[in-house]
Amino acid sequence: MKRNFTLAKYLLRKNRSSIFSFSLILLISTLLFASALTVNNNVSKDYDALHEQLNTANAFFTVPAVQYTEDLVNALEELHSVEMAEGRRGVMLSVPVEMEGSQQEQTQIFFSLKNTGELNRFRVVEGFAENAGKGICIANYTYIHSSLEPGSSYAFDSNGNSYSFPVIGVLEDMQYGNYASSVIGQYLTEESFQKLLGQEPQNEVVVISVKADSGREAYCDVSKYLNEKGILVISKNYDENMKNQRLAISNILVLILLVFSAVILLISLLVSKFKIQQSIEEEMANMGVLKALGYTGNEIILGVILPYLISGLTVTCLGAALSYLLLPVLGNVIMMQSGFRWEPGADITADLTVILISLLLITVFTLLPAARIRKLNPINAIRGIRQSKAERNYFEMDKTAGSVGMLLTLKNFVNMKRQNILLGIVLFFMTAAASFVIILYYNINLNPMNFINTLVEEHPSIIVKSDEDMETELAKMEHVERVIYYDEQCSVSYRDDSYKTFVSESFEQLANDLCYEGRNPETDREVAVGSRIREAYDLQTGDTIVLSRNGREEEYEITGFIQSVNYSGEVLELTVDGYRRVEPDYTPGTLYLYLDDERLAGAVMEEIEETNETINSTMNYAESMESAMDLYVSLVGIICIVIIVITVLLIFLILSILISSIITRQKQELGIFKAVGYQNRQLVRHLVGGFIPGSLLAVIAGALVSKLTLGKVYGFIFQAVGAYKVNFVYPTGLLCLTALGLIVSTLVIGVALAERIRKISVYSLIRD
Amino acid sequence: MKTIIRTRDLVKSFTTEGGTQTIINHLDLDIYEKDFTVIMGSSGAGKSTLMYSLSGMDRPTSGSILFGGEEITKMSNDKLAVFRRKYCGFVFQQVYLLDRMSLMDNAMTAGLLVEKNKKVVAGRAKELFEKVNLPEVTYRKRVNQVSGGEAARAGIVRAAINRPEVVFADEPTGALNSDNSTAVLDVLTELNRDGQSIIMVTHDRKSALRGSRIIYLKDGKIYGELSLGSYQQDKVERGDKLDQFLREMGW
Repeated sequence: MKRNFTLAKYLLRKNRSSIFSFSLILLISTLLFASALTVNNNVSKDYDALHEQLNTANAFFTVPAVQYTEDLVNALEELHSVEMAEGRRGVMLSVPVEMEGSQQEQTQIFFSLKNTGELNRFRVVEGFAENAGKGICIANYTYIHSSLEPGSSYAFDSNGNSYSFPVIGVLEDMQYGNYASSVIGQYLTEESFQKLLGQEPQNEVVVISVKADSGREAYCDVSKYLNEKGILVISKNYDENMKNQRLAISNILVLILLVFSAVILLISLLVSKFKIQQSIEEEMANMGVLKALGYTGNEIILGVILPYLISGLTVTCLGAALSYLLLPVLGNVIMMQSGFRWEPGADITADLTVILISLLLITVFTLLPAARIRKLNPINAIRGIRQSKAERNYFEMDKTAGSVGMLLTLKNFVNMKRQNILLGIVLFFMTAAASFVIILYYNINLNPMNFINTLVEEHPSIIVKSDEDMETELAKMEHVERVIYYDEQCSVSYRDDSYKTFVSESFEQLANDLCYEGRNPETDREVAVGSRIREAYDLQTGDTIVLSRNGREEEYEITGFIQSVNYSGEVLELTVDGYRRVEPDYTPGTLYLYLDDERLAGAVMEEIEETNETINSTMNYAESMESAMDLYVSLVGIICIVIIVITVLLIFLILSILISSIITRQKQELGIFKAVGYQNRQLVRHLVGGFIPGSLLAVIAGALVSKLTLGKVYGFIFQAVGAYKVNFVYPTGLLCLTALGLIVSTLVIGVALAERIRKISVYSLIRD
Repeated sequence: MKTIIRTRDLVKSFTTEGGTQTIINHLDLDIYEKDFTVIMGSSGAGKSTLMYSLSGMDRPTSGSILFGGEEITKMSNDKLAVFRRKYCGFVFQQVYLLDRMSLMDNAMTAGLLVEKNKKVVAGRAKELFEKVNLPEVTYRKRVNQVSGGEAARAGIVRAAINRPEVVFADEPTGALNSDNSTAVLDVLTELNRDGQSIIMVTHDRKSALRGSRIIYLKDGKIYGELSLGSYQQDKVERGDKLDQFLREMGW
């Protein structure tokens, strides 16, 4: 073993710069890999644990208090899928909240801190004076995204009443802890709750929480029961659906990290394979001597691969350890979206998995090229006799057209096949990775509408609610492009289940076409169906379904299928007349205004409020959307910068390995070129030029594959959060620019690294 | 005779852990056009160091080198490269051909640096390959497919392809057997007869006999100098003269 270490130490010293580069690449890979695995293994598990610890309901339904009786809970407990049911009173209000610096209209349910049952307990994140007389404990989600904090005051106006509650704490609950159900839960002291209830008796609701083995089954059973009893369900959800929505960012993050770390790991493995092949060629004579001295093939192989195994083990352990510095950052990102406070802890399984997988792959990738040492004939090795067929002299200079520079560059290209393949693989993957983030950046940061259209429903500039018909009047206002009646608050039943229904007079005029297959309804006999309902009942375009409301049933023909991330695809679309068939008294009261310049939304909204007294409420939706986008914009900005930096770093490391190995191997050749009169810049050009054809090919292939597959990749990612129609665009020009940027970076880095040639004197090249 | 290289007060020293070692010690030397100058001396006398300084391959520590009237010690690396390609040809002991190319491409690689017309360069290369007795079937082969003697002769073709002012030969027969040594020396002699100035560093008496002027270096200085006149194969007294000179020099 000692003999192996001697050879390993020698090779480690000799190849220290390339082993350093290999280690750095491996470190990045294991850091990301370990982080991704820890997130993957723990976030979901910790979420479930907290869900269980807080005894969170598996399904829940918000119903008007006037329709609730204690008997209802008893009746629900009789359902076979329900283990336990519980009702909790609250006040449901639409509250303007300042989120990320701008006003957003949020539906919130205010509970009493005193009125807590067995289910849906909460945990204290910050503050919380149990005996406080007045005050509110805000949800962690509100705390993260707003400027509210313990000691501040939560003030808002609702239905003409002004409220102000001192914030006494921050709580986390798993039921209404984030906006996945489009409702946020806040907790008032009993005194404050009674005051609010006294002012808002018409908004009193009861949240019926259900504990069950299967949340989905209980959700269906209870929905059916409530529908049968004619009880209006204001909002509802179940555990699995909530979890998917709350952890969507976490899942996407894990996916990106895993794919990216796998690509980087592959690159580090290829580097180790390449360097071992090269070491064997360079040390052939020495290995021959060792064999002649009595070393066995396996002993020499162990000596060759040992530096990679030792540095691999060290670096993977370091990467796994360093991942604990990255995890709080990822935890923060996950918390921003989910509202779920994830505290990363040690995950030995993830760490060991990363270390073992990496080491196993390093062993395989280093053994593959090292295996030929076994067949090495000592005498041939000492004499430098290579058992390879005679290589051709490509691009004969007296017979091939082209300048001497071009021909020497082409010769270099042919002679650097292996280096070109390695660089090509790296550039191919890096082009794909860079294209992925550039497209993400383009569609989220530069053209946010593409992202908004994918994830949210309709997004006007302003929403106006009025009991009177103001369509014509508002349409005449300056900067108003169009006004459309659009209602997201309607509901109809299908097969005993009640579904949110989007009602509009003209879906074609909306800013966001939710239809991912077929078309929107145009007549009163047509309906478009949400993705989840389609899957549940295997519906097809052209099918006729029966919808009902308040006991009135009508037939509709399915014209298409729509997506809805916020409502998990459990939605329907009907025209105003179509909805009136089941609700004859329906009068649309929500107007969506579209401005020619969304920046003017605030001013136009003010003007509407000042000049129209019949308005119930207005909302600057453009501003809300912009603030909601801030989280994604900054997150994507960070991801973009990180991936671009890693991409450039990887190109730098690979090129530094390749170029330094070429300069070392061809030191004498470069000396000869210099001796006969070649200038440094010519040699740099020939050397870097030799990488151009391979790099170009790889980058073009990477850009082409990106162009062809990015749509599918994003489709796959967004499908995980329920978006079937990805409105991203993939501009060819942008992908070409990315490819060009990578080629230019490669050349600039290549030239900078090849400048080392300049420092070596021609005499020393020959003398050495 | 016209002086093509002139050194004045030339010093080349190396600093090592053991202190500063002066290899060329305030050397004044004139090299004449069309001469076959042979530099001899014991190991460490500074023969190769002097030759590589004269050819612009290495920089002296101080002093001046005028090559064709131009001071080369002040030239930038790029200027020196252009200078070498135009005025110098090199024949090395280890040949130092670019082994991933054919012999022809090795010659073309040097030739195309000066003459852009490929046909002219190829014609000159073929002429020289013929002169050194290398047929096309051989000069189309890659370096690792030919013998040491063939490679050495190809090295001379590369050195002479640009019709340099001076061909510098560093122990050109040092790694060759007797037959190949003779062949290489014959080629150099013939080139010199055609008017090519040659500076050759050698340890070998037989090689030195080809020179018209012998310079003997000791401790970085010219210790002795001998004029032999042009090479004539059958002149016995040339050998006697050289032997006596070498004895005097302590060879």
